[in-house]
Amino acid sequence: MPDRRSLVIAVVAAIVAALACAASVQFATPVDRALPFLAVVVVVLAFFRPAIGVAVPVLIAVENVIADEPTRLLVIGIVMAIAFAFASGRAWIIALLAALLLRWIPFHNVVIWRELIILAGALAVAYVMQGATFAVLLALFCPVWPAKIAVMLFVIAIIAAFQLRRVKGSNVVVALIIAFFPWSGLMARGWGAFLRPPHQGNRQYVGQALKPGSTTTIDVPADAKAVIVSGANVQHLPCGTILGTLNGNPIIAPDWGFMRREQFFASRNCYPRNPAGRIRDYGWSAWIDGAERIVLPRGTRTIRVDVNPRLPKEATLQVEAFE
Amino acid sequence: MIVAAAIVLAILPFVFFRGRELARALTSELALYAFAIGVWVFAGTVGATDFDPYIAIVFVGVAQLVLISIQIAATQQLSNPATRFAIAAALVYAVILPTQFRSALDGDEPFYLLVTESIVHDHDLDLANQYRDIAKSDTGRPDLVPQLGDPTGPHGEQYSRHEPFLPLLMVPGYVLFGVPGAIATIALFGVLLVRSLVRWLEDEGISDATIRALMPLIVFGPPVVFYAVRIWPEVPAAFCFVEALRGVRQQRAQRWIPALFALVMLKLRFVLIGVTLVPFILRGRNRNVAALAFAILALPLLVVWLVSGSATNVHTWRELIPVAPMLYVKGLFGLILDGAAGIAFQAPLFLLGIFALARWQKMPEGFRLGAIASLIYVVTLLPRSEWHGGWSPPLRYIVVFIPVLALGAAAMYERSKWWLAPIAVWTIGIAVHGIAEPWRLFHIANGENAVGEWLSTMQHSDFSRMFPSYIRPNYAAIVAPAVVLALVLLSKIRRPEIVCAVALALFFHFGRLPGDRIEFEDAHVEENVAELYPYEYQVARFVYRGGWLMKHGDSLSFLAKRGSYVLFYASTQPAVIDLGGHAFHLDKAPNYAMTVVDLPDVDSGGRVTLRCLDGSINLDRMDRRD
Repeated sequence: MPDRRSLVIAVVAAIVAALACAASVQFATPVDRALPFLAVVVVVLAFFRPAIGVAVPVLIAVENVIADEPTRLLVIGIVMAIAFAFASGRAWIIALLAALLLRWIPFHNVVIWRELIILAGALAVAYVMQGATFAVLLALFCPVWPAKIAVMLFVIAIIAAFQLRRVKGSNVVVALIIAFFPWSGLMARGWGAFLRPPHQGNRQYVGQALKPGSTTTIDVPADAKAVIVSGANVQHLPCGTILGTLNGNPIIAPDWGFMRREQFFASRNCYPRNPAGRIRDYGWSAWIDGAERIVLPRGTRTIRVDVNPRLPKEATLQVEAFE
Repeated sequence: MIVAAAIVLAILPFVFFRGRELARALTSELALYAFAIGVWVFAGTVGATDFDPYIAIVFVGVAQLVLISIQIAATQQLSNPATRFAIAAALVYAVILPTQFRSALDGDEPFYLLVTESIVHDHDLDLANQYRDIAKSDTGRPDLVPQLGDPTGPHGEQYSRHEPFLPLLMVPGYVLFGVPGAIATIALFGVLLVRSLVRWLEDEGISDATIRALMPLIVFGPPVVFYAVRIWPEVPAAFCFVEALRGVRQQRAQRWIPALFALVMLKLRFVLIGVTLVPFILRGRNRNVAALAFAILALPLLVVWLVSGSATNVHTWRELIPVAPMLYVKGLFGLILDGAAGIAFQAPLFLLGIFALARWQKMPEGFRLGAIASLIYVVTLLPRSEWHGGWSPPLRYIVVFIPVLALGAAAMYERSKWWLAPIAVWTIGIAVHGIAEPWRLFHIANGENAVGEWLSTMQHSDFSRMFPSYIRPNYAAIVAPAVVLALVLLSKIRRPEIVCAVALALFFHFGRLPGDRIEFEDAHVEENVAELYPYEYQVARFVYRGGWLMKHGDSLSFLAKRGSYVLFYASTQPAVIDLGGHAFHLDKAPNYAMTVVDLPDVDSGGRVTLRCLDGSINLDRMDRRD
């Protein structure tokens, strides 16, 4: 057991590190603003392996020298990942810190009572398994909407943990998950993005929302090669549902916001086949909008869009833009 | 090259580990690759593309080395560490060597190679024909001309000022493999240095655990790693020095005689080390040994006299006479603390070796012998205007003492081991930087360093002033000794990384504010059309003052505080400048002059523009008065 002096030193170190990081915050994203919290996490990890503490000055340096947002956040993630890769000590502490890192940023989006259920479950799993890996995986993937599912999942997980106690975890797996904590929501809900990353070209916005049974004809801009579409209020429809036709060809697109954390578990949509969405928000709130790109045959001058009349009446097909 | 590096890194664990430890090391390697690939894929997904892929690859390679180093430190037992570290050094240097070909040979390197070429092709030391056909030379430097003051012969012979021993050593390598073979010769000396150094540390009673913890930083870290893969006599000299020290300590003539001979033959300045070592050699010895020792010391003088017609070559005996005390102070603190050329910033591990001097009585005898042997050399080096090494990778003139500093650092390790993590992180950064961008190892001696310059350019603020400079003394240079003193007092502090974090936060905070001195040639000054004076590659540029040469219409922009400033300038004719919206008439000043200028109103961002309205002016710097 650590002595009282070490504890006092660690508490003082955590406060000083948090203050130094708070003074160093340069950008407004929730991950940047969470820098003091990250410093505290590092100091706690360093309590068991002091060399890890060197991540605090590295975080400050990264915050101050990398201006490009995605690169900076990724490097912050890598620094935290390295800290977790070398972490030792009680599994439940590592699981607790990892779960906080993955799910409690941005803090203003946290529904505390729901997240406390997840936290308690993760700690229980880590405690039973004497390892953090399984608990961290659960913490990452477990939904909080609906809460009943979260509770049920963790009860199952804890029971399973007793059976899986001999399975050894790996700090590398934890580190790999932590590396992407600035977009942990994407890790949890947007696995398809790893295989088919979304990208956006130059767009000319159309912004039409078409009701079931409606038809429209739109002139295609001279240099357009694709049209961007998405659904609205279609998250309950199964994967592959035809939302309409475009010049006679079927349009299959997910709901624009199906990947939001509140909607994802209840949604039956799939990640777009040709994703044209944008990564939105940070941490566990990160998601990609469900925009689908439909490539137009060369020389197409107009498109005629017919919306499937059998769609629910609140559903719409959105023609967002040309690319 | 990437595949070759991956293969070498895969072989490396086999050098150190067996059984479970080997399996763990290989698993760690695979895990790191998996992690790197995962990050690479995800970086594309989230649009994190603002990084250089080459630097990222180098970083992964260095990270593999770090993982292996951590495991070496953690392993319980390592039999025959000297040989193992030597093999590891050979493998790693073989990987790093090709990375250095991203830039041409620089500094003294092409001249050494030119002498080797002359020996191989013409069997002489006359470089006149080499300079004539410089385009055919393997140096890759068609712009090469004789250095200022190089010796010449009566019949138009052109010699190099550099001693021919190193070129001679490179001959076999060059004949077999060309330029890579010549450099591999130096790398071979690096390997020998590593082996001898481990042996010496063992001889001096350093524990196995300390050797395992520190050697990776010494072998794969600066300055050894950079000088081992470039053509400089420093690494061979360090090997000879450590062998000479071992020979003297063991009283083995067959060790110190060849070592001392090679050391003094490599560079005339190393004779100063030999001179200090000789009294220790002669203790209780007969006349024959004394005669031999003196003959060895006289030999390089003879060789140099034969080549150049002067026993001291381009140097004079007068350089040994003590000069102004302030120059010694500047040189001493510069070698330790300078941001561009000091141990603290370029190879911080060896700072522990400097601190070891404070615990003289408790240090191993080998350290004390090495420190005394270094004395005359260091004292002679300090007042020189080129104490910082000139156009070379950092720490040039003290690489030869790395073995001694390493022994001191090892002896201090137990007291200071809490500092190892911050030191390691900084060392990793320098290693990645130097391997990925070898041309950045060379930096003009203008008072800035690579980090300061980079931050200044990025943030448009004077970050260079936050690094102590003794090349162009600044306020940080006055504060730095006090900081080091505080570090010595805090050497037992348990959480040095938190101290570093606070220091870094303050560094970035104050770095963004305007300073009290504006050096116009610094990277933070945004220039519009003005011409740098003297030009960037001016020989011995550090002895010049000056900054930007401005003509009518040129302008500079920089951060400044409100207040009154002293402007240092030179101008062959009267000039008019506009500073922050106020016009100032400056008198003619062929030599540098001072004038007071006021900045009564500075905008909230602190940015000020200086324009040349009439005439031309050479701007040096601007100091705030209040």
